[in-house]
Amino acid sequence: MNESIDADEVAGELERLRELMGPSETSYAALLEDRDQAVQAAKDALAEAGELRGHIVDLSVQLSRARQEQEYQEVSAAMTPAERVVYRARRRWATSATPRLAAAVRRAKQTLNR
Amino acid sequence: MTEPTGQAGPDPRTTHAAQVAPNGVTGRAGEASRDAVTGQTGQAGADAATSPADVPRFSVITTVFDPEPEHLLACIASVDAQAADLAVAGLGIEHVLVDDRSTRPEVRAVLCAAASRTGPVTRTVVERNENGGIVAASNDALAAATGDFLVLLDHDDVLVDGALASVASALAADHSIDVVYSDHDLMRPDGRCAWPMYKPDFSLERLRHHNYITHLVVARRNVVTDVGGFTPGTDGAQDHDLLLRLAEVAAPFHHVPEILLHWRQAPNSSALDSGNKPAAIGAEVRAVSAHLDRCGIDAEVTETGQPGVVRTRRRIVGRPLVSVVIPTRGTRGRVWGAERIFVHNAVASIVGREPDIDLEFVVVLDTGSEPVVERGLRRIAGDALRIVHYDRPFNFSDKINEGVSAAAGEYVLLLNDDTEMIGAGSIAEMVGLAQQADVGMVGPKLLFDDGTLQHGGHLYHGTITHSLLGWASSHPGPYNMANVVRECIGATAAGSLMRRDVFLRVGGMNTDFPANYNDVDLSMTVRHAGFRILWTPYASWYHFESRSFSHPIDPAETALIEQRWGRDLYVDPYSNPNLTPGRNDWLELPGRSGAPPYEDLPDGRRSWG
Repeated sequence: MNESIDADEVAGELERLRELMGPSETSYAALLEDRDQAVQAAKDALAEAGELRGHIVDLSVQLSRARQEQEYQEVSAAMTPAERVVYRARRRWATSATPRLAAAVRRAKQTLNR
Repeated sequence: MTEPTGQAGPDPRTTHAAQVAPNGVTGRAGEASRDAVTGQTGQAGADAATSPADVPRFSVITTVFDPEPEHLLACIASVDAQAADLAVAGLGIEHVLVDDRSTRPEVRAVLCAAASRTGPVTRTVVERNENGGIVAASNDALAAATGDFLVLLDHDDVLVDGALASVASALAADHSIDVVYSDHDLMRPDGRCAWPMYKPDFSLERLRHHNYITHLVVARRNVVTDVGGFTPGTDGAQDHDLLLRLAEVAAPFHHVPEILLHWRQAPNSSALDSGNKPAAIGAEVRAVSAHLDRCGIDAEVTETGQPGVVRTRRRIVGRPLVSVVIPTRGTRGRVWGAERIFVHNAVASIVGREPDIDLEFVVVLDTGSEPVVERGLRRIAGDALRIVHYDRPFNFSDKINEGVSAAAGEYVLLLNDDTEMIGAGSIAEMVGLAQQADVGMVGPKLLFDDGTLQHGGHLYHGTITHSLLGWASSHPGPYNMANVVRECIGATAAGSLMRRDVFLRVGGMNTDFPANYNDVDLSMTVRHAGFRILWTPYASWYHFESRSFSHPIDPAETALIEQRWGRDLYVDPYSNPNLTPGRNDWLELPGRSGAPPYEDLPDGRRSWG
């Protein structure tokens, strides 16, 4: 122990800490336990809220899907057969041909890089 | 009975015995019997002779065992319809049907009629002497097939019109392709098509955890033969086993992002209920285990409780040292109602919970941080702590680079200070995956403090985001993607593990991105260097994002990342062009979903298939 520390100061500090934590170390341990339980309770409550938020996200996706399906059906119903053919061709180009070309370009670039 | 797709019904004037082979077919002998039994005029052979050399000839192979006759008719008609497609007119198509001793006379009548019909599709019907199961029947079909490419088609599934034309165009564009797969949807019992399965491009790691490919699969016949065809004893998982074998010699497979097959939800089909074939689960485990053995990967494969999904646990070679690199300035904050110094909890949540590896903690600490931060770290981590004092203006990338420079580990875990490890052994799980030479980076499952998903792997489909952001952590995700280890385009630097040599080889983190997109840039660099990036749900952390530090995205950073990577940035091979760009929830583009996408689960929740 550092002899320069005043024993009265130490005793004072001990007294101050005891006032903060209670009359004994046992009560300090209990305090810690209380805190841990409170943290766990908060964690559980948040987790329950999180489950609900997750459901809301699910429902939002489903709602978005229903809305865009509805819009698509309305647009589709108004299309002439020719427009429908053009629409499908464009869709196929966008979803299949373009990525395929992009992938080919990417592969070529990677090959060149090596 | 109404013919569902215009296919002619069985001809009552012909007898079954006259049309089918008297014996099961094995080996090349099947080819001889094929011509004899079908009475075809050799059309496919003529096609092969007259078609250009680079035009593939398809053999559709179908094993048959007691399907609904109208389903089988629809299946056969869908093959016939391929030839009617103008783009395919020049191609040769044969349809090999192997009857695995069906007990229903109506089914045999359908096969009999199919064998007798002439047309653009050469049809071979082989009857087995006894019921041998799907593997034996599939091998008979393989033996009887003569085309360049095999098309695997179940007896009740339906090819979309033009399906093989799409496959043919892909094959014509790249002659090195050995295996092609497409998206598919499900055909419900009421005949409506629903639940499109929009798949990623080839994802080897995902294939090792479940058969995400399923249908439609087209594979070069000689490659299938070379790998030994269908493996006896894998009934129920025979396709998965075959795909894994093919992946060993013919990866990557080519993905056509179009729905080319309707997978029928027959009452006993795994399309309706993936738990319908319990024996298949054990077969999945054996198939994946055997595949990993062949690849020289030491791993334990176990069931997960999710039908069709297995877990692989890589065994760690030796006892590697992992350096956990944590940049921090000792920020405090309240989590779950209690104040903490974040970095203390980040380290404390790891200490003592990784029995299979050695750890060191390299904390890059801002000069001027409270003394209690370093003092507390020494108490928590002891001798495993290295402090790197950082006195330059904030730059996350630079701090990480400094930390890695000071690290001694074979692996580095880049970890934010506002994290808390959930699953013991999470780092070991990531090390197990990163041991593979072609894996450059492994990302974990990160959760917000409310348990919702923060990081399910990066997703760059029209924007830069995290897959399934905000979903419940218990949700399996679309097509089980949140339940399996899989490739992704990028992983977060909030908790990614890399081999140190890979980190150094790609030049570390780009200091031009001091706050945002540094992990995006690192991920792109790692992938362009030829490495795979994996995400695993079996390594998990809480990430109290933005509780410790909030930094708005600088438009200059957005411009810079787009300038550096251009169009490549937003072409995510692990998304799908049929999904809505800019979203992270696998929402289909308009007009693609076909039907309500959710099903009710026994626990009352709803889920995608």
